[in-house]
Amino acid sequence: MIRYAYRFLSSRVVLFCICSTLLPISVVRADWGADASITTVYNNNVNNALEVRDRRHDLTTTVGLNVGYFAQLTTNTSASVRGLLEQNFSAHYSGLYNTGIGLRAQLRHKFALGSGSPWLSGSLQAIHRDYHDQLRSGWRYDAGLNYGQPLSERVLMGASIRYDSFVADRTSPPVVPGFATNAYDISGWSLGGNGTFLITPADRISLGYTLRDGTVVASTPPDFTWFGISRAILPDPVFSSESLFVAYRTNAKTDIVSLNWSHELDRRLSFNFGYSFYRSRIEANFGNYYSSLFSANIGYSL
Amino acid sequence: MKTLLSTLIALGALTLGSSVHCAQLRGIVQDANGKAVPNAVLVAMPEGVAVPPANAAIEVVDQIDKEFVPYVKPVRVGSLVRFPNKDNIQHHVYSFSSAKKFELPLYKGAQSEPVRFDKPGVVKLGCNVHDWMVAYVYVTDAPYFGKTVADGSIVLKDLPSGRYRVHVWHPQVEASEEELAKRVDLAGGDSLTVNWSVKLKPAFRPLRAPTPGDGGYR
Repeated sequence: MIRYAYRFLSSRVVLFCICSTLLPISVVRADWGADASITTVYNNNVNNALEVRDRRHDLTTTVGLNVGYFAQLTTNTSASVRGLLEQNFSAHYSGLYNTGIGLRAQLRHKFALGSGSPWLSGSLQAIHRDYHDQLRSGWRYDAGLNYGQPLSERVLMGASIRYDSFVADRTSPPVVPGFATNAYDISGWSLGGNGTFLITPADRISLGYTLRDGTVVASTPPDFTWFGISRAILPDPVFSSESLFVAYRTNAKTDIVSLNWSHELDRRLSFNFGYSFYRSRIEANFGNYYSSLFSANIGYSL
Repeated sequence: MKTLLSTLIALGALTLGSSVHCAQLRGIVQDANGKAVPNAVLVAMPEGVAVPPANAAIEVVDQIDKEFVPYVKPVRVGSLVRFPNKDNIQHHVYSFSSAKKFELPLYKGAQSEPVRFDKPGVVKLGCNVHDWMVAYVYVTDAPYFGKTVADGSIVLKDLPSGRYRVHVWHPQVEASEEELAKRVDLAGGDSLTVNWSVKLKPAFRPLRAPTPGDGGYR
């Protein structure tokens, strides 16, 4: 009962925060905006398994809407606040269905006048994800700094540093003595760089590399060798249709290489395709797991 | 009454006389594939005669839905250009072009201070808030000019007889004005058509449509 009350209240608190932040701004006639998007992602290792035989693939579709306002605070500094709403559908795992609702705030500063000037932005985001598999539900927090340096009207170089954290709403009683069960409570620091290039006036490609150092969750069949490097262990019903899978939380350094192509169909509509390759190196040379993600996205500015 | 009538008759005769001795020049601009090029500026500069003085015209470049309207604005040297902001938000218009450097810091509404364009040349406009906003003011010291419409054509009317140096300009044209310049002789009543086939380079500016992870603003 308390659990449901907490879930009910937590999503209402987010809604209240969004409304109380956004509504006063309408008085000063800030620039409102809304973006809608549909994204489909194929992930060939959605459970982060080390062994190829344990990998599970999935196709997820996300319908997203963000609504918010933008305000130019000074000549070169702007702020934006957006409410975020997402619905995620999984093709193979109903437990991964989730609804996300949250808030994102960003402050951006240009160091000089004009489109060619470098800029620095800082952002904070909190989003609550409510999964069908309730043990996965929780808050995802992101804080980041991004730096952009246009080299020409076609080339932009960027760098970013980010901290992410996921805090699950609930924990289960211990299943393995001596091990915590908050397997989905993960966090990490990321450092990245990227280059963006306009190949035509309507087509942009970007290539990026990110190194993330933090905790990860891998769901695999039970394996005692994981005990030595796991911080938390929890049975994972989502992938346990044929045999038991267990979610292990451990430390890893993850290399992410991504390549994206955006095509602007008109000034409000874009098609986007992406590929990301993940290599996570688990601590103590325990092993690596790999994932490839292919994505397609349609974004529309309302 | 008699005086008024004589004045009207005299004015009518003058108008009729001038149109009889004036010519018209039609310019057609196409790209290398034969596709019409709108927003190309056609300039006709008379040669060997004194150029009529410029009127202190006030021109307008609007800002509507976070875009400059029009994309290309030809004006005569000395013209004042107003930049009314018809959006319900702030814009920050600027130019770094050598023909006119200026800045209109954050403002709203239609009552912006006009900017005088006192040197011939190309002035590229931008908005410091919305990086995708780009437009051009083409400042010419020629008395006769205009820009092509959607079908790539422009008609300059009421050109006095004489020899003209005519050329076209467009933000994406690769060739220089010198390379595109032609000389034409116009006699009274003439209607001359001049064609240009130009090679266009791509026009790059930041994408406006939403893209994943841009966290951006449009």
